[in-house]
Amino acid sequence: MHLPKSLAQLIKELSKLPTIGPKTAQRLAFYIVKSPKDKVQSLADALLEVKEKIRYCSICGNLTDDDPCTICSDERRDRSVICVVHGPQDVLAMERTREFKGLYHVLNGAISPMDGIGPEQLRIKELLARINENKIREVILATDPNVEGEATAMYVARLLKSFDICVTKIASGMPFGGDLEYVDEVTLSKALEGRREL
Amino acid sequence: MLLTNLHLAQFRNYKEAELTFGKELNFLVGNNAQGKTNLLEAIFYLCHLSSPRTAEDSDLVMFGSNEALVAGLLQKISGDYELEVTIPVKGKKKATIDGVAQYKLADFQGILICVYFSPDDLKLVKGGPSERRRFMDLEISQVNPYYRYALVQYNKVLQQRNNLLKERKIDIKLLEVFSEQLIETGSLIIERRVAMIKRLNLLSRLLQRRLTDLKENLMLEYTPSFEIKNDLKEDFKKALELSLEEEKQKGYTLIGPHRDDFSMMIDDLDVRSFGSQGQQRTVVLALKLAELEFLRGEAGEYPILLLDDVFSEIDDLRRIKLFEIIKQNKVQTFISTANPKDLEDIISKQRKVFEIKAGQVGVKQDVTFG
Repeated sequence: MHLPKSLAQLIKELSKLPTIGPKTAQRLAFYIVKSPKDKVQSLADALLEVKEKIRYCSICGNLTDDDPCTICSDERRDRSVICVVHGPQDVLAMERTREFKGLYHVLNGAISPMDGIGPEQLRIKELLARINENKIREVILATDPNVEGEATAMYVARLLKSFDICVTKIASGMPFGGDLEYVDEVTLSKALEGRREL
Repeated sequence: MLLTNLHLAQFRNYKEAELTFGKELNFLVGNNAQGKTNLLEAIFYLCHLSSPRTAEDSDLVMFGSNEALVAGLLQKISGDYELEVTIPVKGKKKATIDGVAQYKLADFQGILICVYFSPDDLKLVKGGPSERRRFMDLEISQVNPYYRYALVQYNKVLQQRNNLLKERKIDIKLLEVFSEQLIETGSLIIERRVAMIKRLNLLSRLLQRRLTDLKENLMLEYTPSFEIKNDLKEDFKKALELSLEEEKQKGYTLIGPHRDDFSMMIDDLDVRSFGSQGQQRTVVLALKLAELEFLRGEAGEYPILLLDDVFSEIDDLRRIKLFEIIKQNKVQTFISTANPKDLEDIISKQRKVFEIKAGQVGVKQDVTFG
């Protein structure tokens, strides 16, 4: 291939990004080459700025520009409820519901001995400290419904037993607005397990 | 159910083949290494999306080709199905049902259901417990998709728990969490297996008696890695607690369905240790035929039966009994054999004979013996 060195370098860097294969990287690189300079400049600035400005909220562990983050410093939110999630993406998902008015706690991953991730690697100590220092009424565990997520939720729930607070876990089962006939067997079996009386 | 057509392209030694099967007996006749087993393997693949012979899908693709294709037309009580799988040398296989791509391969598995019987199956009796676990898991998965999922979950939990047990300082609270999950998914697996072996026990006992002219009484029993007294989950938990020290020492989980087995007794003697060669072979046959009945009970119709060169394994008497059973129940059966003489004592108008030679299929409605 006869590619100018700088272009080859850009393709190489882009293809290191997740979900970007060599072909997509090449397409993006050519697009950038063709773009006007100010657009490329603002992209480059955004990349650097995000790295310089973004940090973790010292309270909830979410990504933020300002510390504490906008959610933790929002006085209108219910400070007695904490929703525990794996990562910042999960905060985003919960926020999209516009239903949850409490605070968050980002664990930064899930327990997985296979990958060398134990409770010490997660922000569990910080969670306990928060509960100790503040008046918390309820902790909602919103971890992923897989082996590691379940293990994390169960582990945290055990640690919270000694506190006088309500610990809940979000339900798993039927997607809303779907048809029963199209739901896969596993989800349906889980939903059946978690049925409740009306 | 009936597999009426099979189409192969670049599969093993078949460049291209199109077969139309008969409703009952289908014989695949040919010398060794001509491709008889490959045909049965292709049919098995349409059921399980995996081969009974190799874990590498790329082995199935004809040398020098990029992808293999297996397609079949299926008639079931619930309707007709057109199944198709493309197996690339590299990358993911693609499966379609009636031309619609299936994102979840689990939806494809379980449409065509088969019982596969080859000389290798003697391992069911002679081999270690893992052979019998594989047997149970494969059969239950065919008719219960949730079981397949539970198995995957269980293996993940097991892996995580084993990793934790290998750590120098074990967080006991965390171990408890994984134990709880192990018990939860493990109990589900044990329950299903116990139920299956119970059914299989009844069925195989009848079949063994029939195959031995009422002489032998076979008994199957699920043998878990811990004693189940009354409450499965409670007993599982206690057994885990009791073996904790040993588990820590060894660094892996000692209790659970991954250590279970089932026993086979004839008149109170263990067939594995005390059975004669002939007895062991008959037991495998009885188990396979019981499997046929079990799957029929679960699926509501008979699965297809694949017999891969098993005549060398069973004597004339059993062979005649076997065909009695097949004929009586009108099970669509595919039989590979290198010795056409095997066909002599089988009289059936619904028989179709295929001659296999170096990846080519010739149809002979009837063969002359002599």
